[in-house]
Amino acid sequence: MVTASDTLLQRRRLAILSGLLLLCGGLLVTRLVYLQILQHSKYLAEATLEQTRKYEIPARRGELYVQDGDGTTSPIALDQTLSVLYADPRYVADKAGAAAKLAAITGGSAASYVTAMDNGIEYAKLADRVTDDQATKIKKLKLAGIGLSNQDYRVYPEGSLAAQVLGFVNSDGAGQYGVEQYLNAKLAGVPGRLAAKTDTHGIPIATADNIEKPAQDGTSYVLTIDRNIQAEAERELMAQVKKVNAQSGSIVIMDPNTGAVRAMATYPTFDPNNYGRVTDYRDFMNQPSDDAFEPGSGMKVFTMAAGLDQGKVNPDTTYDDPGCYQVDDRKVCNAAGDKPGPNKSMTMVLRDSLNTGAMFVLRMLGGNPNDFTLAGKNTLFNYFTKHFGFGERSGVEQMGDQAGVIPAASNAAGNNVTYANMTFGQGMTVTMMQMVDAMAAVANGGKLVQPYLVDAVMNPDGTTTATAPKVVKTHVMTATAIAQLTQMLEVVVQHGSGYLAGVENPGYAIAGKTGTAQIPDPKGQGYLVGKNIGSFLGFAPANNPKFVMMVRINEPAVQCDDAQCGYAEYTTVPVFGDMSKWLFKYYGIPPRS
Amino acid sequence: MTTATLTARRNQNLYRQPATLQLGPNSATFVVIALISVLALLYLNQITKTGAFGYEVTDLTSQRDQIAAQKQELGVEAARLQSIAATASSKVAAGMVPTTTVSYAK
Repeated sequence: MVTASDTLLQRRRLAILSGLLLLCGGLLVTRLVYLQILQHSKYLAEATLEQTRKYEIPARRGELYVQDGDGTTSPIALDQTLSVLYADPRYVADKAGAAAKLAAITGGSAASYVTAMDNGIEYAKLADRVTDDQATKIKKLKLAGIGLSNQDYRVYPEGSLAAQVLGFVNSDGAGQYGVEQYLNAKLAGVPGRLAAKTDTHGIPIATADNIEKPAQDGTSYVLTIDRNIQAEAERELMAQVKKVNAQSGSIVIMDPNTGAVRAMATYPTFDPNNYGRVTDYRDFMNQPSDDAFEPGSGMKVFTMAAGLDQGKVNPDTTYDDPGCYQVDDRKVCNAAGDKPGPNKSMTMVLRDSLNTGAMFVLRMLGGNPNDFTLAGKNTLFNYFTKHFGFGERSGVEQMGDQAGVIPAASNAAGNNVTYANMTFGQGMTVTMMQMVDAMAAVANGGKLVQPYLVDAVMNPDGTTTATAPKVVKTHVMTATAIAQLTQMLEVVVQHGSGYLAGVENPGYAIAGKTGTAQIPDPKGQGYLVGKNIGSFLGFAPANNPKFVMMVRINEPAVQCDDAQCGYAEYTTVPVFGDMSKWLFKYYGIPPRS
Repeated sequence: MTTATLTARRNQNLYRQPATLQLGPNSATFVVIALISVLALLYLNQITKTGAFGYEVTDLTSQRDQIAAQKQELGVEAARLQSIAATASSKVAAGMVPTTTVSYAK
């Protein structure tokens, strides 16, 4: 029987239990309020940090294409995602065994893998550029401590073709030299970002909270380079540099009507796929645009152009050639072997490359056939810089494009001796690209065009924007002066120092001019003895030019009895002749006669 | 009009007891708990499905990347095979002879 006291006891127990439960509940609620409300931000941040990871979505680098001569294009620089094979030596139990298995797949050296693992502490790079197939085979081995990570590589399927024009992409993904550096910002694109919730393995889970900013792939470009012309130019150049034991050489071929560069080559060259093997950094330089040099007699073309355009001389104007002119305290002479004589015409000045004749033109520009004047020097300076674009960067899409130096007549550097030398291309510096561009203005009827390498832009949205040729200056010379100069330059090829180019191409009208320049002594004043830079600058067909070309051979060392065998007419003209012959066939240009 | 229809019309005037459904407090609690459980199960099911789809998406993305990499590799290989150097050293090129003279139709 339940008594009143039992009931009371029961009620007290229930009250105590209820109180305890309420207390526990209250504590729990208090703790929850503390954690979920007061400390909300802190724990949310910690949870987000633990569950969310940020990834960079790499942008795909733009590709480069070259022309194939039939309206199609061909890739010359591509991106490829390959793998890097690495090891954590702490977890590789049998290094020799693992190395042997890996080497069998990659084709690498097992011994070098073992050495790398012995030298590495936590990370040892074993091989790079591991292909997808190789990576799959390596994964199947399930070797402890061996891993693969993806890496984008720049691949140049044409090897060393147009290497200096292209440059390369370094291990940080940045373009170096050439087009790769000049257009790096556009080629590289903009990487994207992904902030995603991940599982315990760090694998992103698709949730609505993920934030993704897609990568913007880089812009691709079609270059004006014609790979067939480029390859032939490189072949010709390499053969000649080796034949005349020269230090180096380069060649530029351009469409004179548009400024589109069809070939631009330098030898020695390099393979941009393996740029790390290059020991002399000068091999990276694109000589035609990056190296300003004293061009020598090729500049007589533009000195004569100024005289003809100003009407101060014509092809039949004569002067008495004394062999040397006394200029202030210096005696400035013709090249060794040129005999002085009376009544030499301007045509003969270019044909025989007479320095005194070029100086005579400068005198005539100043209105005084017996001395140099400031007015004459200013006129020459004006033609060189304002008409033909020397002294300013050509604007071709090359990172190292140089402006060169043309001393102004008003400066102390622009004294009479300097200007006397400038008339035949010494005492000033220009680039091959500038020379070719200036000659194009003669070839195309008087338009100074902008040389360019980018033929079209392939936008990421799939559209293509073609580059419109740009005319920098019109009426560089009068039509009469151009016709006279062209005829004089044809004589150079028919009967002068460009003779070998004419012999190689019977029936074709070729206009051009050689230049054999002394090389300034880098140790001080004066020039190096017995060394020269030979060049030949010309265009063809002279009556309707399809190409303008310049060939340059540096420091040839030809052993022969005739001292002139190292001159440009023997080192560069044969290359111009052979290349012209090939181009006439390539373009399908019939002979004039 | 048929006899059955007439009978049905006559019966319309008959008294009909209204149906009543009453839930006690225990039944109501049970129904609420059952409903919450069903909703919780549905929620869990959806969450699990979302997670599974997430892995599927990741897997498909990975496959897509792999195929893109293979395409890239094939593109590079095709470019290498069509390069000037590869063409010049091909068997087809080896069988060719250089041109000597070219005649043009006037």
